[in-house]
Amino acid sequence: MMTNSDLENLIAAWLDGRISEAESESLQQELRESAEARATFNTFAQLDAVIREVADTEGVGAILQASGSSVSIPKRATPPYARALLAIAAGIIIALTAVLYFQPMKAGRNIVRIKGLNGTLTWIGDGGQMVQGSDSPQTPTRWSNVLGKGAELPGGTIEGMAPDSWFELEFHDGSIGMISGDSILTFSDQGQKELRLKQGRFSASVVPQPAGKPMLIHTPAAELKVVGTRFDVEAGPASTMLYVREGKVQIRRVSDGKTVDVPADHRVVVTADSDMLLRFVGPDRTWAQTPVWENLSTSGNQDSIATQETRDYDGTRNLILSEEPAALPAQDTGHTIRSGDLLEIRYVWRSDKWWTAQDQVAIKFFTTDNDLMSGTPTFFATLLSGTPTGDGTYQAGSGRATATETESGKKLFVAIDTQDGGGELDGVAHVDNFQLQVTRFRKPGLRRLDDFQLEGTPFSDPPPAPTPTIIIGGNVRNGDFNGK
Amino acid sequence: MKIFCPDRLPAVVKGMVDQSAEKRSGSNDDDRYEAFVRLLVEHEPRVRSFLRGLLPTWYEVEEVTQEASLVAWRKFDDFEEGTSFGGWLLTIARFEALKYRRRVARSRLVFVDEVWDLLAEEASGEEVQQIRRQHLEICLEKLGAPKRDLLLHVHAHGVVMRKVAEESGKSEQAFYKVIQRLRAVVLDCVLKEIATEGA
Repeated sequence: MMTNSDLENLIAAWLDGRISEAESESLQQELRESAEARATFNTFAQLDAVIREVADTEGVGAILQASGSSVSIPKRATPPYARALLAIAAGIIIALTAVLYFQPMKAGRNIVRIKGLNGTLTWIGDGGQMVQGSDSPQTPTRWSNVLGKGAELPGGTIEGMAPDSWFELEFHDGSIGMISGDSILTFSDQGQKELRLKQGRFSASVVPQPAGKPMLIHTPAAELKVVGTRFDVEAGPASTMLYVREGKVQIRRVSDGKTVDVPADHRVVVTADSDMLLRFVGPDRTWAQTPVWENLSTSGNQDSIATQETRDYDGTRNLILSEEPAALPAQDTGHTIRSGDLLEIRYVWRSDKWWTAQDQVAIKFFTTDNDLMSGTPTFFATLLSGTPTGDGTYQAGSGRATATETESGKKLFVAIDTQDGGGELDGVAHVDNFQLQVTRFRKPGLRRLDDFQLEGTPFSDPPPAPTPTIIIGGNVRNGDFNGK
Repeated sequence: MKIFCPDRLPAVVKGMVDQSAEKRSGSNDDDRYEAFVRLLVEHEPRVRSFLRGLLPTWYEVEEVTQEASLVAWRKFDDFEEGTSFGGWLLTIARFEALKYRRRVARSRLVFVDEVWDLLAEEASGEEVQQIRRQHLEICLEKLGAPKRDLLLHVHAHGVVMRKVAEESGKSEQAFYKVIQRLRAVVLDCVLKEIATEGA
């Protein structure tokens, strides 16, 4: 039987993960034989759990001189996590660390409310503490408590773990921000909002901030000062793209300090060697401003947004595709179907907010009972895109279908729809450079050129071999969505 | 069709919506959701405490807690109202911990079967005295701010105690002794608080 002191030391060594093999055997021997030892063990484990709960849900203040105890800690331990980040962007981190790590926090003070969330999210730290052991078994874990809509949070780091993850927060002054996809955002508010977008996409609508205290956003490549505006920012390891929708945002390149004011409807890309020139971004256009294409949705609202220039494929406008029933782009191709027509489509697309890993673009061919778009549709072919890569890049979509006698003689209509796979009808995707071509083959049973030649009948002007005709594509029927 | 307002679910149970959605409909969904969240919030600390005595690192505790929460959500239709949700959740957690243990059984930190079973059995008993947060908070206040902050800091998410020890300028052994002494003081205080409460 070991002493209480020895037992408690072994329990502590086990809880701290520093127990040796021999000590572990001693501890287990004692636990096997003594109910009292097990009760002590259980009590210390409980205590450890409750201390952990308090430490994690309160912002733990800066570690002070541990006066009165036998240990003196001259400064707060710099987390290994911070060291790793320092290696990436020392300049940014030094400034941010000063705020987030060393500034005493008001314990447990909530600064944001969760407006909505989706998918797998990881909560890395709280109370602005943001510490993480890179070589520790205590690696970051998901927030196992309830992280629900309407809940309030102190400062901390939220990370989207999947392409369909998103997290929308609202500061107490009404400023709203949202990350989507594989993004990592740290947020704090000590009288001045300070955020760090380590990677990914962050959209925000910021109410006017107090004089001299703009919202600061740090990315690996740039720093943003936001007084009050709407904007989107995308951050990668070496580049940052800022698109300002309203107001003005100042952006400063970390590497050389070059600063640019970005006005509304402009965007700028910051890399180590970019010229940081402003590029005008045309405002979103409605269906009414988008020729040929119509919104065939149940509401049919032609004033809703149809195309935009952000999230572009080739620097031009693209079609916004939504799972919501409020939008269904379609057009009358002007083509009259003949049996055997080969319909081939190709396009590029990318997933965006709330688009799950199972959602797909669905190109649908249909006819109507009166050959008008407003008629009752009969869908005769659906061509699916496949699932998204989820990495924020455009991917190719294509497919083909053959018209039958049933459709013959009717007008061909095409719709760019979605096929839900994730159970939620709110995903957004972008489509560009849509092309539809038709190859018309002769009807089976008609005589062919060979038939005439076999009969000895000269046929000096043979019919051409079937070739595809592009009926939508580029500026033909606004296949690039750039027409106005 | 969006049947069950999945955006209202906690992230931890979000992934289960698809499987559950077809079984649920109508306003009862919201009630079930609210009931589950309320019960989970109430009983999760007990689960974490329980798992802490079985699993050697917090990483594992968090993982298994989350897994147990997900399983509980999946099976929530099977839970009978009026019975003990805490006991039900603890049973799920124990099973999930066992599954996890099989993957890491060779670690020196993982107890052998016999010890594991004894600890699991005794820690899950209804009669086990529970240390509650309010007990601890009273005792932490009594420690004084520097010691309180130190103790909380070394227990905070992701903090590597060895590194804190290094930066304290003290030897690791000396540092661990300080922390262990603080724990012992707090535990003594907590047990007195519980006894006073029960008196």
